[in-house]
Amino acid sequence: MSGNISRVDYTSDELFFRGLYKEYFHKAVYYANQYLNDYEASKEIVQEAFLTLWERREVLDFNQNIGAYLIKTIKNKCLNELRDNINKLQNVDSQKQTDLILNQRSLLDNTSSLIENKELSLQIKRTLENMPEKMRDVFIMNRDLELTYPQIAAKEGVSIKTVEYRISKALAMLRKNLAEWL
Amino acid sequence: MEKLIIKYFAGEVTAEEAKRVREWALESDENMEIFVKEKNLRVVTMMPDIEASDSEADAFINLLREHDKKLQINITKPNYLRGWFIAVASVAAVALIILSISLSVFSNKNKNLNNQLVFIASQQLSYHENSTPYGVKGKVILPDSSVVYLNSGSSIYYPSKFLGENREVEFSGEGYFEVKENSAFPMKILLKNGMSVYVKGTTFNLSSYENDKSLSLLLISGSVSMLDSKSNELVKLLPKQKLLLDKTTSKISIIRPEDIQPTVGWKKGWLIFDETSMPDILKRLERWYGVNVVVKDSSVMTKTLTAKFREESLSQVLELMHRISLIDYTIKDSTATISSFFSR
Repeated sequence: MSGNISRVDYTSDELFFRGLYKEYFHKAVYYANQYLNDYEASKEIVQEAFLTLWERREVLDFNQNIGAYLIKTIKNKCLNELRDNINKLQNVDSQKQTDLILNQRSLLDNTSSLIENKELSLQIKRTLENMPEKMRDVFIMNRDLELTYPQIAAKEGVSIKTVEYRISKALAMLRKNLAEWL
Repeated sequence: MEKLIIKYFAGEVTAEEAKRVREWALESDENMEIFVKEKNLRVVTMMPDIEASDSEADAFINLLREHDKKLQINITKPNYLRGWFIAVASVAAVALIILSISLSVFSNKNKNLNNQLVFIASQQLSYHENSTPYGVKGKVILPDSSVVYLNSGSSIYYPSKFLGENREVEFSGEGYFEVKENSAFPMKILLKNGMSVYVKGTTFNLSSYENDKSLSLLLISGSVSMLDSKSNELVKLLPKQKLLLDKTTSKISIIRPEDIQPTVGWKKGWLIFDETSMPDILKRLERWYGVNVVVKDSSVMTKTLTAKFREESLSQVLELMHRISLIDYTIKDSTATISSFFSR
């Protein structure tokens, strides 16, 4: 708790956006960065998307899935950014450009917006719960704590190869259980 | 290959291996499909399951409040001293004089607009937003019965009733404006890049797509003056003149197009290219047909095209571009993939 701001002071709109921000901010920055390969630009785009929604709050229907709308807004902003960056990299860095073109193709695919799908995230949670404990721990350290393979290996007292193996197993299990969506 | 792809997405590959994976993905549609699926699976499963902290959320609320304050300042005090400012006056001969007078009148009166804002809010003024998605055009009649034709991918945001100092609207995209004459009550069009267009009653075509490199304003009737406040230079436009602003360099040029149809033809359903560059063509096709265009070979981007279309479908347009050896293409779902004509 940060003691400075008293909770009572929020308007109902602010309270709604506060919740939306808490739930989606880190997810959304990760999402944008996966396609833009630029963390600062991703943060900026996510911030902008939240502000766009905030400016439009009078005309937004809060009964609709606002998370999905947010992700769609971010997706469009990312596509614009990608298009510009791809043009800029012309004759500058062909590998980087190809990388972004592949990201663009991936982002254009419908499966890219699945992150706001509640059922899908529930299925991911369930799959994680059913994993062997050691496999899950390693996976979560990598995903949520952003630890590298060597860091996890040192923490768990196992070899890097073992970490690699556990994570690839975890991903294989997720791939199997999410086949319905992807 | 599958193992290498998994390593690729985990970031555990050498530069050489990464290059191999990318080349493999571009080899065929099937490979691309596998790549895209793996990439998106990775994004979905590796999505961090963490909430923003309370202090982060509080900082965000502060940002929203700051943002609202800034918006109010922008409404009450148009910033004439920074960036560009366009004013449109209806009488050509005295445009310069009128402009300087109206400027000082605006800034004086705006000082007490704060109260006005409160007043507006208490009247429960409602706002409307009309947007045209890609592939769709539209027409909007504003509360003062001015008419705006919207090209694809445009939006206009306006109140149910014009109050305050200006007829104020927000606009992005491309529009053909027929503004009702009222010199005492100018229309102010706020653009996304912070510029504003002031209009007293005139007809013009304004193109200010956010993802375009330049902004263009073609005057049909009346007169336009544009003020660069940095150099204090005043640029005047006459009917049939077209102003182009390069957004990256802030450079302004004025041309007198022989034919205004390439600019305003969209209103009557014409899609006209006049030595248009490929990046612009593809952007316009995306908007016009509501599709995604993906470019496989960047070498096509240097080509230009002069052509006129009316009721042709996207595939007919692309087929023509293919017949004249400009491009190769495939269309799948709502995505057109463009490659170099000589790639096969």
